[in-house]
Amino acid sequence: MEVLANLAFGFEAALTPVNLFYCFLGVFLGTFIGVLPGIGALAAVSMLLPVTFYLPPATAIIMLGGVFYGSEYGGSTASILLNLPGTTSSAVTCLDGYPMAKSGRAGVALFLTAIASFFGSIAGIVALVVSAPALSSMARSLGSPEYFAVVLVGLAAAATITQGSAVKGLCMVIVGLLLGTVGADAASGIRRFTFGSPELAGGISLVPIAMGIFGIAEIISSFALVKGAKVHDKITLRSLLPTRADARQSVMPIVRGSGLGVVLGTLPGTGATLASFMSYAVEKQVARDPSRFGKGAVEGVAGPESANNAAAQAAFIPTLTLGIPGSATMALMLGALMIHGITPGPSLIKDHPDVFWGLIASFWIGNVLLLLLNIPLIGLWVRLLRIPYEYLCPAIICLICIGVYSINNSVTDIYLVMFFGVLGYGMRLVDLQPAALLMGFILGPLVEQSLRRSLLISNGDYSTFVRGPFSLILVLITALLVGRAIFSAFRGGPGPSAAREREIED
Amino acid sequence: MARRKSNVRDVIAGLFLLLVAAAFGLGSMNYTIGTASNMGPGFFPLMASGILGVLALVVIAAAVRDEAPPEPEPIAFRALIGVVGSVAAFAIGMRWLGFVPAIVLSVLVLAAVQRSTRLVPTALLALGMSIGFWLIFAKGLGLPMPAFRGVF
Repeated sequence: MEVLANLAFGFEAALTPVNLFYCFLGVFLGTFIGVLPGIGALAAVSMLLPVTFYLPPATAIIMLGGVFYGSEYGGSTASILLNLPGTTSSAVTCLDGYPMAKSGRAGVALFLTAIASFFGSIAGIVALVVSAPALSSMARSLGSPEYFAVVLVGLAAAATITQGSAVKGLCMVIVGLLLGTVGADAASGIRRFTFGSPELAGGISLVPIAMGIFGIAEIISSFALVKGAKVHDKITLRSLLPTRADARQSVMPIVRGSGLGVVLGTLPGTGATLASFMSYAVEKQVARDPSRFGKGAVEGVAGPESANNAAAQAAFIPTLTLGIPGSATMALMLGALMIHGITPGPSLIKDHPDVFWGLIASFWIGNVLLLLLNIPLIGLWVRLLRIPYEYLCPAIICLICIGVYSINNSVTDIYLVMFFGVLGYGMRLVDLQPAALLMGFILGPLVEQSLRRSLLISNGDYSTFVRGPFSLILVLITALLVGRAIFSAFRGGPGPSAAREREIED
Repeated sequence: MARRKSNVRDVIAGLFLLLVAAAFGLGSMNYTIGTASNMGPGFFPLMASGILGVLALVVIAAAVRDEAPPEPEPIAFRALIGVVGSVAAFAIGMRWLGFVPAIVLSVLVLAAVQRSTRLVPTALLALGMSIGFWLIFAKGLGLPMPAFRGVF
């Protein structure tokens, strides 16, 4: 019953008025940003990162966590009402959610989404509570070579599985690793790539990079997109109620979606987007009449929505137990912890139980809050979508500028955001994934450190990475992923993501 | 004879990656490389940029052979200029004029690139946002940001 005692301890930490307030603020702002089309969880978390600098570490991570899973809830609102995904993981929800809205059942779709999201999240949290302590004590016994291999496979999987061209994803991870080396070298103290600038001695800061390549770049690319989208429906509380048949049809998709989400969320590189796509495919497979899909089938909304929220919560498993994030958003969470002086890794649960268990307890609280926010207050979010983008856009830009400026009271940081914004937009145009860059950037120091330590111990012998069976398997998986990436680039065929999209379109 | 197509988008991406690899690779030569058992500060960046260089060549080689390249996405110049200008306006305003003018400038610059801009709503937006944000951030959260500075 140690788990219960730990949870009780966590609730004690999470239920203080301050933490409760920031948990609410986090899920509220997360939903808010998630609802806005074109701006996803990554932008939401990076935009709110500076706000948390003034908070104690546990409170900060509770709020940022809330922002993240809150945006997964909110993302589906725009999908259903505007046919524009609020976040990438809710893109699938457009397929049946929008047809439901067109036939006057937007309320039902929104209601089912909230319920499915809630159950998905609960499944993810249970998996986290059950597996985290065991995983982290196992991870504490890993040596440097094994740890290096774990990080390596995590990066390779995240770069090659998620989106677009796999080779380009790998490249972006390495660009991130290189950007991470800027600043003083941990071992020798020598300043690398700083051009003599004292401001760069501590490395490039995370916030301008994240805000630039996600916040600013996303605004630029969604600027033209969102214009002209209009919400026609009026959502009343009465219209939310699903029929008995809707409810019955949603139960099994939610169960299957939750299970799928937990598994895919835990694995590196897969995450919420893939989970929702897979769940949709599964539901279509098992449906008695697959032709209903794409025309407003409730299973096509309930399954993916539970899957992406389950995955969002399960993504915290590797992040908190191993210190290895499976996605860029999780990497950003780790970055936030590091800014607060907490070294993420296997010993996080032992050294900072208040942060770990407090965060988990806040997940329960946050999801209940989200249910309250999303069902009775759905009208508020719908109204938010009616605000013309011409008014929202300058507000978001100003918020980004204020946020960045407030960290160091430095105008230079605003120019840095601008630079990374343009860079991020440019990378988007040539289909280079900025998310992979961010993962590499945050994990860079860890990669270098564990590589250096392993080779120091083995006296320069590279075979140390393939000695133990565990690291051998991981290195082989990495090699397989890299090999497949290069092979698929030359075959010129569609990558895994293109194939996936095609499957969904059918 | 049909002109051989190649994927321009990916060629540009590959060249950009190659450039990054070259810059970091050459840069790391300035530092001690060391040996695997005793890595100097240049070791890791050199290794990483080497791998990046190879992968960038793979991207370019694959792009040149690509037979059915996708249509490149058009550059949203209007949005790019507007958003970048708006951020720059905030930075300049913040440096010389203070918080309130910075927000006003930022809103106006963005509005200037939009076709649908109407004068009165934009002015109201600029005014409302500058005062509202100043109340929230400077008064409410106590961030040290003067409403006006310098010339005023």
